[in-house]
Amino acid sequence: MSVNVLSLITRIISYIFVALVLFFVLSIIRLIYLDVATMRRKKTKAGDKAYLKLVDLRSLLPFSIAESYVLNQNNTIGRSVDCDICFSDDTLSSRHARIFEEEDMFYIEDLGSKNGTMLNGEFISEEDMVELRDGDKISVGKVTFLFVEVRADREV
Amino acid sequence: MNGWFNRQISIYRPIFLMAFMILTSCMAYALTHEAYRAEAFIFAFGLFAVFVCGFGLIRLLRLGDPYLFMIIFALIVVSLTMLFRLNFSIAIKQTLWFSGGMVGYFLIAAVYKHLKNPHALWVLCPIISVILFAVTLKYGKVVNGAKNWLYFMDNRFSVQPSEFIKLFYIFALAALFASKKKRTFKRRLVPLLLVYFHMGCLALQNEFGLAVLLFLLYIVIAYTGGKDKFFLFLNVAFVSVAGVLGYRFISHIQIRVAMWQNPFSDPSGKGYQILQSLFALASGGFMGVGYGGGSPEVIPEVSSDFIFAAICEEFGLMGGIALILLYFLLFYRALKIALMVTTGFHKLLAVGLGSCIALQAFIIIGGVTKMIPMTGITLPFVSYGGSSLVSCFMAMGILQGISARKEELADEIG
Repeated sequence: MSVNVLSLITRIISYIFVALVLFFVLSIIRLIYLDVATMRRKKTKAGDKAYLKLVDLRSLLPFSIAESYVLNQNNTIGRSVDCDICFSDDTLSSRHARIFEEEDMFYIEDLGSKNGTMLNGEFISEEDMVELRDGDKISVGKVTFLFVEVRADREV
Repeated sequence: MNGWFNRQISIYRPIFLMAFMILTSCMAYALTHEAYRAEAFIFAFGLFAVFVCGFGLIRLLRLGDPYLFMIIFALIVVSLTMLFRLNFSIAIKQTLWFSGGMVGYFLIAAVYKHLKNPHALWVLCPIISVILFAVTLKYGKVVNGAKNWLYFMDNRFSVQPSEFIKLFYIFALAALFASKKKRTFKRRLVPLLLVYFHMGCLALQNEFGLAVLLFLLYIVIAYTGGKDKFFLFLNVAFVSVAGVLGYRFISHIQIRVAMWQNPFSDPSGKGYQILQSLFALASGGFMGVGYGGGSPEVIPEVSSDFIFAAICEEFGLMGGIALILLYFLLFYRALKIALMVTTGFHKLLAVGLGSCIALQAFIIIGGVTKMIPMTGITLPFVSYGGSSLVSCFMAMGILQGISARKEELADEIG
């Protein structure tokens, strides 16, 4: 009787072991897939008007993130891969903040994130959209970006 | 694309899964082997500590690809789980080889990262190969029909030089095919000379499986790196003819092919091994009979060549698939690294090393499942065998080093 129970338990543990190996393979495939998905948006081209530059040392962050992100008309920041700027910071909401362009000006708004968005060290309130200027510091989650705008007509 | 697959997961998730993998395998061992319960848990803890240290080392020294080491370690965990169940003393030896291999892995990766012009070293490779071949043919001992073992220190310590020759061979071929000099007839002859010299020496040692592996590697590297495809096909035709002639005149090959076509013709003699392997696969079925429940000991050479049959018996088809998926991932990572580096030499080297592991796994798994004739090649990282394990670790160490060479990367990995 006890021998039978023992062999049954061993058998179940073997099944769990195999399942874990398969889960391990799956998690690595997922990580590789997510790497590829984030990589697609990393390329920086010449002649970009505005971009976000990482202020923190990239090597000290526990997730993969690009050195800079080019800004388009509409950019969402978040943990979800659907966002234009995404990295797996666990203090970041899945859709955290949005930076968008309107009439040649860039604005930032918080999308109801859990831990808030900081602009130059101050939290921005949820309904607000704040105008961005060259050199502004944007903090989301654990990281801080520098907002850089390259424009011929504004260089006074 | 939406859904759970798209959600970001932490890089640390495989580490948690690895912890549970090691824990379950050690629990299974403790349940079936009452004598070593406490030791099993201490060993498991040590293994996990080594994994975490290795992962930390790759991050700290910026050694590039983080997944390569994880995949290799998963293979090692499966291997040690099975070996400890099959033969305790062998598993202890394998653990020692494994620690040596790990040291080699990180040492080679760290050195290779900073090496300037590594392709210039290729000239050394054929010289080392020649010396190793000469020593093996002079002092080698015959084991299982192949003269490929060197014994040291009163037969306590043995090495299989051909496992290391494989690495030098890949290195030399990659360097030769990557050179940008004009491809004159003389230049084309050099790699061929290398290929046929290695194959000839291995044939003299009666190691035909490895000879086939080296030729397949030549096909892979020449197809990836060479521009002259016609020349390659000519060589394939030539070797096919040589293979048919070899089959006609060498009894060793004839027996292997006959036992592949019909193992039941000599069920208690030459076909015994492959038949026992098939019985093991069949009794394992879809989910396996459970750890310690089967009787893989009846297969001769089960801890080295036929370990895949043992895994399939106890962990079933799912276990076998998991193992094959791990090899697939390893190969994928090698190709990914090859796509990311910019130097032609490193592209070829990464492809060569990756396909070396993949081809070995294919040849031996095919042999065990009676899909192709059986050859005495080891299952990389899983089979028992010190030389094989260390050489696989060295190969992957070079790959890790290639992925760490930041200045050459077109885009960063992960």
